[in-house]
Amino acid sequence: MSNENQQSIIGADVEIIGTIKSTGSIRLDGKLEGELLCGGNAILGKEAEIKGNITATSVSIEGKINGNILAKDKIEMKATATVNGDIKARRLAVEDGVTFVGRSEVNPNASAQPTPPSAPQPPQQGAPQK
Amino acid sequence: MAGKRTKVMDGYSVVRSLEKAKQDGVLTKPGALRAKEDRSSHLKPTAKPGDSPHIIKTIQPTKRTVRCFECGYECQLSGITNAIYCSKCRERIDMGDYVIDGPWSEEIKTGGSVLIKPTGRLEKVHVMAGSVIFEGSMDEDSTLECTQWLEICGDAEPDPRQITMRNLRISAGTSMKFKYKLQVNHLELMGTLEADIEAAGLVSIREGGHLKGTVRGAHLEVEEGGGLSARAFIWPQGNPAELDS
Repeated sequence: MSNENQQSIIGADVEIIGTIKSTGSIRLDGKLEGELLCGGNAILGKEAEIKGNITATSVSIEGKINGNILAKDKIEMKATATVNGDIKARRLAVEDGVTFVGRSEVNPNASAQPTPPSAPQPPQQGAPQK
Repeated sequence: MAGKRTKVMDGYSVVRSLEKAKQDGVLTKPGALRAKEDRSSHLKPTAKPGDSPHIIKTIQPTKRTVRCFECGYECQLSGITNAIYCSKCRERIDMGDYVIDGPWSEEIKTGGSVLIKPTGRLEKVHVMAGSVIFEGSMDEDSTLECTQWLEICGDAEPDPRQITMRNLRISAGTSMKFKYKLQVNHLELMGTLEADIEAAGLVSIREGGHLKGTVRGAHLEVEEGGGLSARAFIWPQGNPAELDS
């Protein structure tokens, strides 16, 4: 049985220290001190507070994030979002009102798959240096 | 008594006659003698006159901000006019709109708009305008100053050192590169901009727009389809480090 369409919910009164791995989508309203690895969509509610990196297919943020975010597809920052960290995705939507301090690498016109911001690939040998 | 008869029916006589007729009970209600109209075929009105959008909702003319070139005072203006006088310093402000589609070397100082077409070229001239749409070119001795919006379109690539603007808009398909720090109020991107930006207002990246470099400000908005390859420092409440100090 596939878990890809299922959504896990972590309530606002839950605090987790450690890594969360999920093959499906996840909604987090509580606190997380650690990494979030999500195979589906990650929805981070208004009460959510995360200290750690996030990797998911798409990420929707309304809460506070201290860490890097890597999304295969899309990052969506709502007006209440606070992000301190680097972001990388294919698509980005930002609402007026966000607090964002970090580096962004979002180019919808680029065809290459995004790579994790924390582990940039070294330049190939023989390739021209910028 | 022919002498009491009114020979000339002026307004006062009419009012007096009507009052007398009312007192005598002779005066009938307006429309009382008219035959009753058959209104069975008429549809009942679905909305009351007060519900009419034509009465309740009115469209206000768009207002634009005009800045005095002498004292810097800003005022709101709606409608079209050739010129206004500054409410503060009484200086005359030309409000004419100009279209430049060839070589131009005559100074312009207007609160209106200037459209520099692809064939237009500024030559040794200083242009001051409310808003400018720049599609053409300018030589090294020309300068362009906008008190409101500067829109850069098409293949135009003005030297950033020669242009001053309050708000900047980069149209779709246009690429601009600023080597120096760009300070603006609002920035709207539908094309590509590479710069170190410090914005007091809203930085808006529309679909198809792409921002490279650094962006510092209070408000950032990215539409889906917009690109952001930059270092961002966005604090709606102000930079906490500066607020603490």
